[in-house]
Amino acid sequence: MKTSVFLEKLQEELEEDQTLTLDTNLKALESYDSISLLSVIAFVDENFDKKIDTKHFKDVETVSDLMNVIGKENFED
Amino acid sequence: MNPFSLKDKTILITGASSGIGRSCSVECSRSGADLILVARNEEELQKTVSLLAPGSKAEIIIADITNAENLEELIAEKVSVLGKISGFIHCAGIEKTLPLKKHTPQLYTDIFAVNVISGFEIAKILSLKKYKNETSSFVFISSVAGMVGEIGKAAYSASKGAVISGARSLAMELSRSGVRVNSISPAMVNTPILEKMFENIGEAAAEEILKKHPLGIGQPEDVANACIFLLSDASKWITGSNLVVDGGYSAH
Repeated sequence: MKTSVFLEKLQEELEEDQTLTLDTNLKALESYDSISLLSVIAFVDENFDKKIDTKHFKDVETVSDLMNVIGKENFED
Repeated sequence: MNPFSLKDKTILITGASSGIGRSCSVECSRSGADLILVARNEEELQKTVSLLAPGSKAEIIIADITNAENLEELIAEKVSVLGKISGFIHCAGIEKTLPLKKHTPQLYTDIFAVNVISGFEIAKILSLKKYKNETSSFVFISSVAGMVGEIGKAAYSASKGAVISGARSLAMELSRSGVRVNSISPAMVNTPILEKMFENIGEAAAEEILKKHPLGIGQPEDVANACIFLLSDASKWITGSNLVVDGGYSAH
């Protein structure tokens, strides 16, 4: 998936007004709460056919961290 | 005779291959019951059988209860071996914690198929005179989620609420046939379903849930013992009730 497309889709998923960048801190977003984690996991499953363990989310802060968890190979510039 | 005994009673249990269903099987056998155990996973179900009290008789049915056309035949066959049925526990269930916006019609359908419809369909079969003893007791495992709201559980809690209210109507309808019908609403119990859920929702959310249980997380036998009470003659004046077994979860 193109990184730009991913950023747009993730923004829509989180219903966030602010445009996301690789450096956006997800946990600092206004829309982010405990249920967002479940949304993001379902979102990754839908878009990448990949089940992410919540344990891997512990250290996820930024969008870039999330992309690392999903796997860099799934993205293109 | 001990009114809490299940001696000379044949009990059918769904979801007997793990968690609460397995524990109900073991504890019912210890209380003297003979068992018809139903599950999809034969290997796990055999493991349950190996845990039963020595000397207790058990028959197994390997079937997907949401999709078994010949379930009545299978039950009839086992009744001919063990005798007519005096009790039923519907433990089979699936849980999904997912934000509302990720719920789909398919998810509601899948959850209701197992948690609600299959249980009531088996109750239909077991309420027929040819399969039931003079008196019988049906117990449906619901959940506190059927009584109080929880985030991410729209489909699950709807299904468990349906179990509680449906069981009440069965109680009204089947009292004339000598069948008592009750539900049990446990909170978080240490089972594979719970482990999976905790993995799904993450440590922080799991910690939050733990904090809401004044007596901590329950053990499967805490629920099984409540089932034994409702199946036994000790509860012969109780029908249409929902027994909350939740370590105080819903008390506040």
